[in-house]
Amino acid sequence: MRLSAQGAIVGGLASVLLLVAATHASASGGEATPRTRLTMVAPAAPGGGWDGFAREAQQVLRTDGTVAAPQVVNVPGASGTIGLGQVAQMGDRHDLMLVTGGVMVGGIVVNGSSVGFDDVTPIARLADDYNVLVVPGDSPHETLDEFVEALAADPGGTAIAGGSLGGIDHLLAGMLAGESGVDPADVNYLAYPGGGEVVTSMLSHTAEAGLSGYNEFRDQIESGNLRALALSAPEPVEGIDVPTFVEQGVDVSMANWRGLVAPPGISPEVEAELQAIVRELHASEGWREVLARNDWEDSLMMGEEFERFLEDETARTAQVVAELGL
Amino acid sequence: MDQLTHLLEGFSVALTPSNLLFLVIGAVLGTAVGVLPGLGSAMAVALLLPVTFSLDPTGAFIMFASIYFGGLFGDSTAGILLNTPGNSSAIATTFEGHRMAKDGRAAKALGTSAIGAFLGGTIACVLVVFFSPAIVRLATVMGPAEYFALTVFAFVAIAAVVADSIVRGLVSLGLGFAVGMVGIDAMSGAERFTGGTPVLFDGISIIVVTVGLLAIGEVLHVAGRIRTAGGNGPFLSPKGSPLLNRREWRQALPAFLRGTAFGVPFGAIPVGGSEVPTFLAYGTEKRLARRRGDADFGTRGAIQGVAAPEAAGNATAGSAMGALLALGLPTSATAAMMIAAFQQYGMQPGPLLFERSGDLVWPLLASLFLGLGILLIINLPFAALWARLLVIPRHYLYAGIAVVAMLGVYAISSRVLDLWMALAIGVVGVIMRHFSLPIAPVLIAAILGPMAETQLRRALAVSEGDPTALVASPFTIVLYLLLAATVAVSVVQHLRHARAERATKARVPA
Amino acid sequence: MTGGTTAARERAAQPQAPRPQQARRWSTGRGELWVAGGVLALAGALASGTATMEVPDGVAAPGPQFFPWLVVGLLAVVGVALGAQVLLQARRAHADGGAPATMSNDLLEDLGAIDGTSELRIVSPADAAPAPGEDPEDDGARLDVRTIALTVAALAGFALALTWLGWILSAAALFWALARLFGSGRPLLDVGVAVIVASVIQLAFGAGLGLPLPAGILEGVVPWTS
Repeated sequence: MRLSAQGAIVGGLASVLLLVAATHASASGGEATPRTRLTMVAPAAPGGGWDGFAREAQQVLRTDGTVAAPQVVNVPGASGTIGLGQVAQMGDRHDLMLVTGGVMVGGIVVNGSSVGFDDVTPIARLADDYNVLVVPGDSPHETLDEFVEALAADPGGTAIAGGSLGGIDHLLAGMLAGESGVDPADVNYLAYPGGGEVVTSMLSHTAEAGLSGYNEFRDQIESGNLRALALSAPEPVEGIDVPTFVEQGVDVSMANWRGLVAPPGISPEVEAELQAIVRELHASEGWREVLARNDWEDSLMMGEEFERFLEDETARTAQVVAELGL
Repeated sequence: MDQLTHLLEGFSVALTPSNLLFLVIGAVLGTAVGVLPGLGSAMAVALLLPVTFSLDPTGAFIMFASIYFGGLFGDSTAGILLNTPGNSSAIATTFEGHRMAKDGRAAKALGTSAIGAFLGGTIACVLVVFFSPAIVRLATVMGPAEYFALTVFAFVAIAAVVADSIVRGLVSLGLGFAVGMVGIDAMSGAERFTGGTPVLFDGISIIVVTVGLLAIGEVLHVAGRIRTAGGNGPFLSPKGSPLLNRREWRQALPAFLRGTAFGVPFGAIPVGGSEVPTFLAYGTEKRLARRRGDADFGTRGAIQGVAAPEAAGNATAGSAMGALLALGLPTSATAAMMIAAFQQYGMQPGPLLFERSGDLVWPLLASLFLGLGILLIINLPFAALWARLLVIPRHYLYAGIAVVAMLGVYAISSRVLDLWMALAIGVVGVIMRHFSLPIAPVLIAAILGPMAETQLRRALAVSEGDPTALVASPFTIVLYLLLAATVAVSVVQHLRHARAERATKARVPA
Repeated sequence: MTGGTTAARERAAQPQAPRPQQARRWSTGRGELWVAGGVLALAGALASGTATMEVPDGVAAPGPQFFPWLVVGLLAVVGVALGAQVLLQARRAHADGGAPATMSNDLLEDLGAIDGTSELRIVSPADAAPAPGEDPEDDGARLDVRTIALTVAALAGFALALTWLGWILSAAALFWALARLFGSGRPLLDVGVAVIVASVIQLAFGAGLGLPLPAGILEGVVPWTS
């Protein structure tokens, strides 16, 4: 008697829970329209740069009601090319976009990835930030010219720290070397997993100079622990008191851009709808705040302009990577 | 005593009824996620982070602090009770903790671990509040040569204590190195042992290795015995109080303090989170036990063997928080996630943080203390309750562990391939157990191996191949001398031991 | 994997009745040779992987192959050492005539079960202090390979079915299968418990914490959700 009562309780509980859980599973699966549920694939682990971008966008889309239920899925690995590969195979899935950016361009080239930006539908470039060349606060190099001289005289003894191989920092180091008359392959580049480690390698005087996003270095520059020599922007940026490479006569510029792409087979209507969502996001008050908080430059670019930009970036990156000997 | 006033102000901001509620919710959720095998504190933070986004900054930070430490309190629970630690930082606690549980002292082991976590975390947080500039300086004097010296030191100090048979220990270390080498080499960009598979480019996640070897391996190990030998040997029914009596306090307190001393400095430097200090603390206790002639250590389970690693783990977490706040330096994956969370509220960890966002930082620090306090209050009574887990029928318990372990592996990056890898590693784990190959060196090598390699090559890259750079600073010289002394002492001890053994054997007629 | 099962099968094939001590030790020794062989095979695989590695030009020494070669060397040496030790021990066991009292401490430690420090192995009091005369490796002879294989199969089945069946169904099936394998006698009740566990996880982690768990064939089957 007791046993069957126990069975009844377990059975009852099980059926109720199954019903609720199955309802949730059923709703979480299935395709929706971009307006009801938009999935943003962040091709990085939680806490990474692309993840942050995706979650900022998710927050704004949700509060403004642009999309009823935006969600973020992390597909980390291999400079984002694993996420790119997955999205490239999604055919005409129309409720999903992949976060992408400058690091992925390098990743595609360096990893010899079988998929590229030709295999997805570009939607928009949204925000940029720039990288900065720094030296420790007590470094003998006061200006970019002095540093370039030192680099030209002894490339091996002038170690430059920065992010992972093939990333923007590495490309910038190679371009800087090329402009200084040094073979990019001779640059003594120390790859670190993140900007935080680059900061410590400066503070412990492991490397002579470092490259990373301006945000990573901002506080250290203001507090005098690091000295900024040059910014990678093509033109001076308002609010950042660092001269650009170009201004100082070194023709090096590269933006760390962030953008969105969609699966390859979407219809023109879906593409237009996704672009409309991005436009609404871009026009919102919340997005202004996000840009200001992260010190991102607004760089909205869509359609053919964005496609051309991707082609140019890929070609330019491939050339620098070849020079670097990767 | 500027800091004290600021901290008191922080407490006054943090101590509102609603914040206390967030504190309790965070503590319970963090502990619950941390307890599940494969879902340690890092996963607890990752999963629960979005929950905090809807709160105001102070409330969010308070909940955050309690989730962070809650995960750390929880992740040793499964290890102690079931030999399936939730996270690599809980492995060292598992050794003696599980022995205590098998001896029927599960509640005591859990209580010790909760007190250890509280003491280690609290002491570290006090140090962070008053001495964070010194902790920061520690991080800035460390270059690659120093890190390399440190990893070598950790290798020798740890490997010597976790494997008594040298050949078997080295076999396990070699396996761990092999696992650690898979992926793209960060220094040169060369692919190593990936077979061209992009998902392996970032290497095999240490969570997959830990869950595979320990949780899946344990399930398979039990599977091999449950029908023939009644499984794991009987669990003795848990009895006794989680509280320590006077004699136990006398045993445990020095161990708590020793563990904390190992943990604090390691939190400030990126040498792989809290695994190294927990193993070092465990190794020290084991040596001390051997010197004392403590027969419990390694058999029934000694309280010191739980106290020291647990205190070390949480002390690391506490000072890692300091390094994170004062330097903006994430020393672990969890810390990296927290940087992202802080930035959500416009707080940029770094040298200017205390000046710029003092109104947020001090409540955050205050809530670290509050979180630790609440966790102790919650976890001591819970210890007896958790110990009752062992009363669940064995078949449900292990089926549940397997399901949750699979969940934990899948949660890393939603990849089925990770499940296959964990399963394969679990099969290797059960074979290793069968042939008495120690498991711990595999994990140590998989964690420390890549680190040692990277730092060595980085040091040589900076010095353009000049090996004298490895011993160029006082710090490295001291470490290597210390290492030489340790090795010399243990060789002498070993010889003396062997001679004594031979002498005994000679006296006993064969 | 093959090493372990083959060795264990060898053992299982032997009669369960008391056997001469020597015979038993010989089987143990031979089983361990598989481990030594496995280590050497791994060393070989790593060596070929290292030798054929594509190294980018201009990489500063020590390059990406330096550390792998060290590991290959380590594995080769310990593989040979382990093999030698196993053979040596087996011979020693013969020479000693099989009385456990005369075994050296090292040998006992290496055999495993009374070594209190080979970590993370279950050392229950019963294991830790074998009764006098009992072979410390006797436990191994009772290893239930069939249940292990079935457990591995259940886990593999879960990995195969996860994306197709979805989390709830595959996790419930895994739970049910393991509960059966681990000796539950009430399959019907187990179905209920398994469904509860899987559903609670789906609700807590999927709905509560936003972890994307696959829906599988349940995707869109509940009509009122869309």
